[in-house]
Amino acid sequence: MNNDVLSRDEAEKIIRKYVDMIFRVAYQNVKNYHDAQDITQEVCIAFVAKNPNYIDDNKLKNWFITVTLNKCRDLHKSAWHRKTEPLNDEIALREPEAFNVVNELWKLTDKYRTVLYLHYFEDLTVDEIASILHKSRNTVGSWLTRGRKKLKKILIEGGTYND
Amino acid sequence: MIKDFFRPMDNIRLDKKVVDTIVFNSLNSDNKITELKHKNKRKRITIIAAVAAVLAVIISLSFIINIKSEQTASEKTKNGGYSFTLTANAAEIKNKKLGSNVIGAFEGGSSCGPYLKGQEGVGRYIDWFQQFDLSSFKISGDNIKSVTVSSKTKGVYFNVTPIPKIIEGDISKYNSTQSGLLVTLGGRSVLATNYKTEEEYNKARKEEMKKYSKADTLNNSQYTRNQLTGASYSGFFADFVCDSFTYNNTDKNRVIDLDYVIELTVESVQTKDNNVAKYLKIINEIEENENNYTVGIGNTDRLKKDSCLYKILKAVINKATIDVTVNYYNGKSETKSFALGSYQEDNGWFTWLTLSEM
Repeated sequence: MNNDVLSRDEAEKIIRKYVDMIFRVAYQNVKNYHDAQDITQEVCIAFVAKNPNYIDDNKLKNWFITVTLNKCRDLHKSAWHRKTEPLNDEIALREPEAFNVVNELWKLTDKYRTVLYLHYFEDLTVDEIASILHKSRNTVGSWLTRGRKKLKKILIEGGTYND
Repeated sequence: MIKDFFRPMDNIRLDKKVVDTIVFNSLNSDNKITELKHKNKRKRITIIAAVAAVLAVIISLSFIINIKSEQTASEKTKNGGYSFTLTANAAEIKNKKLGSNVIGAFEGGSSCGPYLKGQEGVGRYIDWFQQFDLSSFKISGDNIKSVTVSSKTKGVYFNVTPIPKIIEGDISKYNSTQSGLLVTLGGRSVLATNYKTEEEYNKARKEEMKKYSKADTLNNSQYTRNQLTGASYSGFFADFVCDSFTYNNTDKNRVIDLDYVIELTVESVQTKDNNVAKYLKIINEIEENENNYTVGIGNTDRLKKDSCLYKILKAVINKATIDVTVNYYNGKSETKSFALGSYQEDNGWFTWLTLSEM
């Protein structure tokens, strides 16, 4: 990208490139297809509204993840979210079986789930996750270690993992 | 290896039509987001709240046992001379080490403001409206004809959503073929089996709404009713948005259960308060930082924003009270005031509102 304002075509290209990643990050966080879809829409609108004028690919990806996680947090705190019940909409996913491990992840607390997800599914480094979550590298490292242990325990108890 | 369990998720995608819609909305409109959200709202089964069957049984038993007995003189003395008792979720918060006079603590959400058009917050959601479900809010007493709950404090008013009686079924049996409605009570899923369709439920809700009256003033908000309800998305979906409302006890219940019926709204008042200006400045900083892709700063700024929001909240509810007036069938009436307060938990991430005896 250059230093100019994004053209419509460039913006569309970027949105199409990252839209599924945004959706996945949102989905693993909010556990609901339609909420994740709403958040994806919000993030994309925010992206266009910001009228970005520079970025490299890695920073852009991290920006999308940061904004997505912030919007997930907003949703968790909203009155509407607390007072409504989503339908069981996993059926809406095209490949629900691929969410098996995500289902196990949901048994972890937010911080472990988020770092494991970002590390293993989105291939972010510990430094990148630390930057996104505004935590120290050591903290993220220990969350990853503890998260792995907890996940392993869950998988063993579920009979899907043997030492 | 644990990592072997993480399969690539590249095959998890949004439907192409959905992606096209998102792209179109993002590129072509400044407020399509509202339309999408409303569309998704319809895909949920949304019922504001419910009363658990067990609770209903307990209340019924309590009603049967107590309706024939007058409140004793000692009970009245214990209750400060009042013939009615207001209770909330004190039992749930007994480990929080709050004051002994606190009868309820209610978690709030800060991102629940309306999308206001033509206001200072054009183009964004103003999230300095904080809302608190007054869970387990009950008034008990004999011969109660009506109860009026009111606020005289600027910036403090009510969202009232009457809830019809719910018979709870086995939630684990809920599936697409079983009739019944899925509802939520304080984050807990409940299956309501006494309504087969949403139409039935809505009919019952309309009947319940008839028990409420005098819910027509809104002087405590800095915004008009139309601004709050007409151009809003998040939060303001109550049947009555008002400073005061009356529940008419036509069923002559001894326990008037308003569990999750009342949502108390606290909004900042437009003054030259430094915190309000500071809050707007922080919002702008957050947006600028996101615009400049300053990765990671969001969380810090958001905590600063929440801290500022809390100061605004405290300023509004400082010395704020709500009044509960009970009218009896014998013509007498009693009014008791309850104080509002607040505290924060988890490093400022969550704000709680307290309700205390005075």
